[in-house]
Amino acid sequence: MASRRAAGLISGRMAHMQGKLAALTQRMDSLYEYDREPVAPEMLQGGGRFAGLFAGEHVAATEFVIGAFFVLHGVSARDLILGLLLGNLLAVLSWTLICAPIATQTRLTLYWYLRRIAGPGLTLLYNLANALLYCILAGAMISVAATAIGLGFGIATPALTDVLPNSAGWVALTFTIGCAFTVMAVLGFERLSRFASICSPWIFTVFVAGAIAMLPRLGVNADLSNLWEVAQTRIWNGEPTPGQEPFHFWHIAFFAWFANLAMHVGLSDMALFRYAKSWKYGLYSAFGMYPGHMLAWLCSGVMVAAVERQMNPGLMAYEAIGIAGVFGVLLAGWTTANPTFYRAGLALQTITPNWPRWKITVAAGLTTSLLACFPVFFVRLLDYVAIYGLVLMPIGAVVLTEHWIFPRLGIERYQAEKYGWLFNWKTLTVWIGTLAACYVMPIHLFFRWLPGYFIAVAAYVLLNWPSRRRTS
Amino acid sequence: MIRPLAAIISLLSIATCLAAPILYFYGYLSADAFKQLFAGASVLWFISATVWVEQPRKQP
Repeated sequence: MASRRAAGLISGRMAHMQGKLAALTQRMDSLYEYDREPVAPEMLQGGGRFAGLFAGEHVAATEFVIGAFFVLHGVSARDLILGLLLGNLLAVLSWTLICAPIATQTRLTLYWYLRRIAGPGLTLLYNLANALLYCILAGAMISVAATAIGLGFGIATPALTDVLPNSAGWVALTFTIGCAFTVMAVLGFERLSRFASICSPWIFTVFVAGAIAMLPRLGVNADLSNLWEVAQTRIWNGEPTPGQEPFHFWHIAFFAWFANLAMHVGLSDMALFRYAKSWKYGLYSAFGMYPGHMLAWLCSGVMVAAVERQMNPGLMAYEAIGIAGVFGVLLAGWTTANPTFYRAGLALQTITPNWPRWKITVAAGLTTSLLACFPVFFVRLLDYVAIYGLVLMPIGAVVLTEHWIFPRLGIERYQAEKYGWLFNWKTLTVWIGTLAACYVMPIHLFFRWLPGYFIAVAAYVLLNWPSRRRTS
Repeated sequence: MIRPLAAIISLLSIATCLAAPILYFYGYLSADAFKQLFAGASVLWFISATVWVEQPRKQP
């Protein structure tokens, strides 16, 4: 009798939870309602727009840190250049051969396509995970901006080993900058986004000008005759800074490949490529990769080498081009953090019914500002970028499998949509299982996502194999 | 008329931002002069590019 009552209670509670979750997912759907329908043919965009979008998006505050870290990790000049050439090529091909074809066939965002595959409940979870990861990344951007403002106040940048805030000054600085960014975001996203588009080309010149201006300090002759020698001996000399593990060709190639893993292999950029006339538009991503993820990384490497390898983007830019450099770092941090508040706010809106837009932005901004106080996300940025891509990668593998592999194997597609599942448990199992497998892999963090991707594809096929027989 | 003018000034100012470090590298400018030129061209870029973006396009 007692056990029957307990079972009744549990099933009642589960039904209540399911009802709540269904209400949440309905709210999420209404937020994304405007892009529910596939993009109409008259809405498709020309290639120039994609080139411009990629060129503007991939010169950000992170570039100041990533390129500098390559120097600190003691990569050689040859390994760096070849690794960046290969890694960025693989990234461009991932956009072109994985993301763009699915986007141009479905004309849907990942949100709506995943909803058909994984169910609305799991899509909600995915969105919240994405929002949190975005907040952490924006927090790192605020930290980068803080290194610039901190120069004026004499606040020390955290050491490379710091996890917790190293001083009250650093906490006050990052939190104040985060709050300032939040207030500006509250005042208007659209106007700020337009201003950000003005900032992008200028920020790119900050990188290029900063590197050129530092060349004399590194001993490069006016005729550039010793440029390669200086690059090999004074910048990327193969000697890691104490405490930093050495990087080689494959570390660089993989990093350049997975730096935007969530966007290409993880399929987030379906939102962008659904407007493309052809899947070949994926090749336009090269306009973002080679200037941003190659030239800007090389430039920040030059700058950090010229300041005795001090990981301080503010100092690097100030020493190179003066006060304009400080503004460059600040604006690079701000223009990256601003759209992040918007995306995180959109995800948060699901669980905060009837909140006005400003309140949600403040919530996302304050969360980000708090995270920014912890230097671990800034000083371990390379690892964080790897983890960010890794966490979202299995969902990309599931969507790819469902889109390309299921029809060829005769496995039933879109089961969550057909049977009205809130959660596709097979997708959730693959997501968690893949991450667990990646966690225990005895290889470097940077390389784990690739075997993980194949594990996710294979596991999703195996879990769905029984529905193949049912269909046939 | 304002929009094309703003576009020309914007392009010239961003070109100056790129030219300034090259002039410094070849010794035509001192470090201070290069930094001042870069800062001045940057201010000009932000003003002119804002006008360029904000001004509506002429309808055909």
